[in-house]
Amino acid sequence: MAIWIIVTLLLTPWLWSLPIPKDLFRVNFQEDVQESRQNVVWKRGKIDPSPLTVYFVNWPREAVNQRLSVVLENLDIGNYFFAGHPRERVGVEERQKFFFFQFLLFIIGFTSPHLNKYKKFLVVYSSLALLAVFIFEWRSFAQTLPLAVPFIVLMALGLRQIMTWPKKWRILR
Amino acid sequence: MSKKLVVALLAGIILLGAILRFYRLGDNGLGFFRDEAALGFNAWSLLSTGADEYGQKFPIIFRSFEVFFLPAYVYLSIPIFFLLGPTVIAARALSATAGTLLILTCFFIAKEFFKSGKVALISALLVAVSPWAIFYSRGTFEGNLALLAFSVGVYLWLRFTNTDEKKYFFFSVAFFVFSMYSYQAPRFVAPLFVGVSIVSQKSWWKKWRLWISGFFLALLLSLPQLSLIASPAGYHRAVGVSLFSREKAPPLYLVPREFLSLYLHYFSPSNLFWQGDYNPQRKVEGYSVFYLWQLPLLLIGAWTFFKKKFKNAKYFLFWLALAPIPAALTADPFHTYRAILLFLPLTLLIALGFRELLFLTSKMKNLVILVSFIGILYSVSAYLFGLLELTPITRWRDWDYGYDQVSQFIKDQPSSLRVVIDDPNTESYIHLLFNQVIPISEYQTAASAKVGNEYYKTSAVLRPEKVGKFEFRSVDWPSERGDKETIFVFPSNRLYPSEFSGDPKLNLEKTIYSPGGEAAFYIIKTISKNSQ
Repeated sequence: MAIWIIVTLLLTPWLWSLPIPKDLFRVNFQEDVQESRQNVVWKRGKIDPSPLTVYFVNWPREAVNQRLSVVLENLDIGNYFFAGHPRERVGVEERQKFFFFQFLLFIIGFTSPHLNKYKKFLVVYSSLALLAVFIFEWRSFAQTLPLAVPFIVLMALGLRQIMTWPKKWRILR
Repeated sequence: MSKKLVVALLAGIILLGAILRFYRLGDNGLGFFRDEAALGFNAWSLLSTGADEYGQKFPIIFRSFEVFFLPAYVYLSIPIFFLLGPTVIAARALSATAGTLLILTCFFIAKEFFKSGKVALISALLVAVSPWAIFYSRGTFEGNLALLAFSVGVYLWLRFTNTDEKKYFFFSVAFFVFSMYSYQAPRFVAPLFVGVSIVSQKSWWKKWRLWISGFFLALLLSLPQLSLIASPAGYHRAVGVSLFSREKAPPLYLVPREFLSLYLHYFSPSNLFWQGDYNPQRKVEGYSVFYLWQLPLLLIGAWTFFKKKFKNAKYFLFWLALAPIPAALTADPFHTYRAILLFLPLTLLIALGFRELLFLTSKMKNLVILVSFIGILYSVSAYLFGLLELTPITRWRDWDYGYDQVSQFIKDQPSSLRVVIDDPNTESYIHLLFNQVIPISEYQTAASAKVGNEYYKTSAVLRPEKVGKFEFRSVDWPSERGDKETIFVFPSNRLYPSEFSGDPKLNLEKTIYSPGGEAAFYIIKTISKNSQ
């Protein structure tokens, strides 16, 4: 498996520029809360006063939503294989992270019989990485580098799977 | 679960869905968009004069703003307009009804796919409360009618494959063809779905007589549409918005990449659960197509779907895979309306995930049900709040807010005054027609003179900018502000107050305010010499 991971790493443009993640663990809750409060004040000022406002427009909801939006942004396949196309993000430099053809490897990786061996790792690692995204709001090319790991593993599995195909054909013959 | 209980629960869910769709249907606070007015007005015009806005007698495809739209919604709305008159509710009622019936259809589809009454009930509940289903049922969206027809077609197809009764096949074909008379997307998806579903059957060629009969039935039912397939009315919409029609169309070798990126966008969690449509008109403040809590359920549902091998799984996958293609072939990113056929299978997967969650947590099932019930109640309330309270503040301009008040004001003015509406798109005429400000016959005469025999033949702008005393065009304010006996209607983003205030020859008759309190329209009257 190691060899497939190394090949995948070499094929991945994300790593070619040797990005060094900066501000990985910077968090300013106070600032976030203040911003959320301001947004809520603006929204509440626009709508008719209603007791329901407290439940549907409030700063904890606003603050959580802000962080969730970053998590969901990082779940968008387009940001990895299509440099954000067709919906480029504001405030983030969209760069090629993986090649278009690597998407095929990624999908084939899910069909690999060896996936079971890595399933727990992939689920736990991805969950932790997404939790980190939620807390630290990773968005940039370099900051999101830890998210490359599950992709690389799946692509390596895909590559390995592809390499078994000619053998199968030989057996059929 | 007893049959009586299932029926009672289903009835309750449908009632809830109907309330969510019909509550404040005529006044959602947003406005009444020009496309809605076009569909509604043409139904009213057919009812009252037997012809559409261009004076065309019972058209096969309708023409409005150089966009051709399919006829089913208009024709089926005629009885509603007969009952309710030319009102916003009448224009939207068919979509709301289709959205309510979709709940029932979804119940039966889920039952056919997953052979589980519980998944069917959960599916029905999720359709009843889902943001996408509520949103598209509360506006005049012909796509919602198409979705209902397509879904009924899928259900009948499943009945056919499960029972092998030919009548279901023919009815299924009829509904698929009907969906192609309702909206553009099924014109692509329905034939593909039927074709792929037939070919995927074992020894499909043995039933060749049945397929040929179905083909001829479809051909017969499609004849009116097919007669126009080679004219701009038949293809203009598809060609006009396609990936290749853009000014900067991608080179051929990049088309697969472009298409795949657009296609995958329709499965992006960010789009489905967070960002929503790229067009602000189809966005509800703070919501996308689904609620965020449905994301884990979708993942569980997808996992369950592939783990348990359902008998009709391939048809489900065909539906899921084909539905976003028409939308992905257009250049716009995440167009929820063009991909409307996609959201029902995704909802079914979410329902499957929910059922699996209940199974996995069977020891505390009651607690999970209680929490889910409270969660759904909160989500729906928050969504309605977003839709009816917040969205009007931020999206009123995208919904043509205020034209009803403009129309009412013009109606109250002396008939001798000229009325000029500043509108570079010249599309605001439809609001004045819908609100009975311009006499239908007067507009029809002017429009039919302009369009002549070209109704189906060209997509060029062929509609009058002036009808009697009404004009719809861009106003050259410096040169026209001296015109006498004229009412000028300006959207607030087209004229600054400093451009008319302080002039004794101008009188600001009325300012129409948006739901957020900003000015939406300025209505200015030029003062005649006699009154000076």
